[in-house]
Parts: sequence; C-alpha cells; structure tokens
Amino acid sequence: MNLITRNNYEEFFLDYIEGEISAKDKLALESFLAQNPDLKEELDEMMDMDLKCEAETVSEKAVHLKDIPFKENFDDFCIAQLEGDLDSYESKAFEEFVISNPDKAKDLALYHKTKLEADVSNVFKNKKNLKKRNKTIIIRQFVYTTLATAASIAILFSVWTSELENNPTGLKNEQVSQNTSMQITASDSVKTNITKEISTLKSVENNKKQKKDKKTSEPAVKGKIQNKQIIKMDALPIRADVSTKKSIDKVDVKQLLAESKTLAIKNTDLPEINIDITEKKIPTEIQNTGLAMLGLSWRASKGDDEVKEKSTLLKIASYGVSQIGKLAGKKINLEKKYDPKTDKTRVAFNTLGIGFSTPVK
Amino acid sequence: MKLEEYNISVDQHSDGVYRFILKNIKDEDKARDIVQDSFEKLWRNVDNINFLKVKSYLYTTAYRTMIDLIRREKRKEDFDQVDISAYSHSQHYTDLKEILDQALERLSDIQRSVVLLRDYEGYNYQEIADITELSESQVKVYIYRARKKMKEYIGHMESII
Repeated sequence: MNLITRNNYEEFFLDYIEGEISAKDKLALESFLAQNPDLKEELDEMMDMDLKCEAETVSEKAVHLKDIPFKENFDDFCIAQLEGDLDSYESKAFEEFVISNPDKAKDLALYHKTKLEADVSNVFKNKKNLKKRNKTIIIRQFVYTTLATAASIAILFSVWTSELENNPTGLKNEQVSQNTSMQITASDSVKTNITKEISTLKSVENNKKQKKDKKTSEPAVKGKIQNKQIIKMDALPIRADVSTKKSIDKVDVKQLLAESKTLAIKNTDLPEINIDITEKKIPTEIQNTGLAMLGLSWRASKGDDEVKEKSTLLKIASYGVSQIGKLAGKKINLEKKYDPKTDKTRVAFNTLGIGFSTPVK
Repeated sequence: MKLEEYNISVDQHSDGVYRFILKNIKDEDKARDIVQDSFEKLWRNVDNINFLKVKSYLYTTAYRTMIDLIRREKRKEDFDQVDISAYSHSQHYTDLKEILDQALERLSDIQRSVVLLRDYEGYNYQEIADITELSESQVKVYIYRARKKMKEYIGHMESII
C-alpha cells in the first residue's frame, strides 16, 4: 500500500476500523498517528461512529425482529450476546435465529469457548512480604523494651540506694563522726561560757559568804540591789562578763536588765549553731548515694531532698522518653499532673500501646 | 486508606493482579515483580487512595508497569504477525485451556489485556477504558476483534484435532 499522508489517511483509517489493515500498514499507521495526534482524535471519532451505526442498526431493526441482519453480522451478534450487549428482544431474536440455523450454532459455541476463566491455582505467594506492619506497634515494642530496661535500672538503682541508707558504709560513718566533732566544737564555746558562768556563780557565792561574814564589820550597802542582782543571776546564769566581785557592787538594776536581754539573745544563738550544722550535713547525705558511689552527680532543684531526687529522676526519665520519641518520629512525653484532691503529683505516660502513671509525691 | 485496608487489599487483589500480569507476559518472576511494584506504589499513596477504588488503582498501575516493561523489552507480538504455519504446532495442544492460552498469546498486547480484564475481573468497557487509558468504544472494538481472532484459532485447532 502507498505511504500514509494527510491526503490518503482516511483509507487507512477505514481499513483499520474494519480490521482489514495488514500488520505492516498498521505499524505505519501507528507511526503516522504518533506524528499527527490531531488525526488520532479523528480516528477515535470514526471508530465511535462505526460502533454507533452498528448499535443503531440493531436497535432500529429490533422492532422488527425478523429483519435483524443476523446472517450478515452473525459474528458481531455472537460476541454481543457473549458480552451481554444485546437487549432482551435482540437476544431472544438471535436465539431464535440460531435455532433456525443449526449450522450457525457451532460458530456460536466457538465464541462461547473464547470466554476465559482465571486459573485460581495461580496465586501470589509472597503476600506476607507485601503486607505492612503498623509503625506504632513497632514503636510500641521499642518503647516498651526501652522503658522496661530503664525501669529495671531505676528499680535496681533505688534498691541499691535504699540499701546504702539502711546499712551505712564508710561514707556514712564519716558523716557521723564529722557531725559529732562539729557538735563537740559547737559545745566547746558553750562549755566555755558555762564554765565561766559556773566560776562566776562560785565567785558570787563566795562573795555572798564573804559579805555575810563581813556583815557585822561592814555596813549593809545596797542590800536590795544585791538581792536583785543575785535573783537576776539565778535566772540568767550565763552572765559571765559582768560577774566579778567588784562590778557586782557597781552594777545597777537597769544595767542588769539590759545585760539580761543581751544574754537572752545569746541564748537564742545556740540553736542557730545547731541549724547551721544540720544544713552542712545536706551535701554529705546527697553525696552518699549510689550515683555518688559511681562518681556521678546530678544538679538538684529547689525543695527537700526527696523531692529533689524525684524531680531529677523525672527529668532524666522525661529526657529519655523524649529521645525515644525523636527516634520514633513521634511526640512522646511524660506528663506530670497534680491532683489537689489527694494532694499527690502523678507522672503519667500514655501512648496508643502502653500507658502508666505513678505517684511521685 | 488505612493500614488494615491496605493489608485487606493485598489479600483480595494480589492473586488477581498476579494472574492478570502472568497471563499477559508469561513470566512468573516478572509478574511477581510487577505485583510487588504495584503494591509498593499503592503503599506510597495509601493516604490518598480510597479503599473502594483500590482494585482499579492496582490493575491500572500493574497494567502500565507491564506495558512499560513490554516496550522496554520489545516483546510486542501481534496476532496479525503470526504466520498461519505456526498453527502446525497446535497438535500438541489437545486441551481447550491450552488452546485458549495459545490463542491468547497470539493476540496483541492491548487485545489480550482488555479481554483478560473483561473475563478475569468482569470489568465493564468503561472500567477497562480507565485502566488502559483507551476510550470505551476502543475497548469494545478491541474485545470484539480479539474474540473473533480467538474463535478463528479455536475453530482451526478443533478442525485439526
């Protein structure tokens, strides 16, 4: 056949639609259509028209069943019946035609044999590889394993720490000895004062005796004042600085009262010394933990010791959980909630897979 | 589409897609690869695909992957190109199923695909047109022509046997 051009393409189109085109011309036509896509649309329209014409022919003549050209278009009717494209009238008429033309029945049977059936024994064997697992399940398993490990370490650590507290070791003994020595040091100053006071009292007693002895020889001078002074000294035995023999005679009531106030303030200083000592113990106790034994330490926040430890553990746990979340690509957090009813703070960890909460205070 | 729906799709459609591709290219390994590729593409777009349309998506993806493969390997074979002398080997095929397989192999790629989609999966003309990127009328013409060719082949074989 001639070369396909824009002047003779209709001829090729018709052959193509009719199925009369040779393989060589078909390849040439496909190549031509690829170079002229606008004509491809035209070919599609022609094919549509061809089908519509066939359909119209059938439907028009369906009114007169006997006039349907089954004989001329027998193959198409066979396929149309096979594909379910015939309406009920056409189908009935076609069946009647085949019955009345037994020689056509064989061809119809051959068309019915072209219907393919899938071989169900052919199956895709690797379905398991195609299926996907839920990422959250994988993350859950990872988180669960990690948390279980972390929890185990935390429990062991807690047990170890509490064991250290219950059974003091070398550091604890050092602390005790240090505390003792500090208390003794603190008591030395007090002891000095008391010693002074005792010596003062003794000297006062001696003075009293001497005065009683001298009562007859010496006139009573400021007897009332002396009594008052003695009473005040009984009440305030720490008045060491003013307890001399000579000064007693010169001290008046006002001065004594003023001094007694001063001494009273001094008395209140004593407990402060003990408080200072207690405060100095704190670092020693914190260091005396399992973490300290490992040569590690953490920065505690404000609050009492227990809260500090829990707070720090909570920070460590939160950091660990957030790192796991980063690895998993999800936002996972430890939540700290305060329940005013029970006056307790709870740490909660909730994910799709696992969740728990525990009181921390 | 959810993960569970995706896995259901694997159970429901992997066999069908595999059979469809295998029947077209007659190569188990390549058919398996195409099915795997199709489901991988489905998984990548799992959030954007409606579960109700997943079958159509899978067949479309598998069909296009197969066509690309065929084009790459230049394995296009058309019934029109088959020499009638090839029928001389047909006496080896006594079973109708085998004869049908041979008839199917002698169809063009597009004819084979549309007939398989029609018979294996029961798709209508429009659905096949969507999968194969053809018009509905084109699909119908291809099916009609394919049936005629297959009928001719079967008739010829039966006359020989």
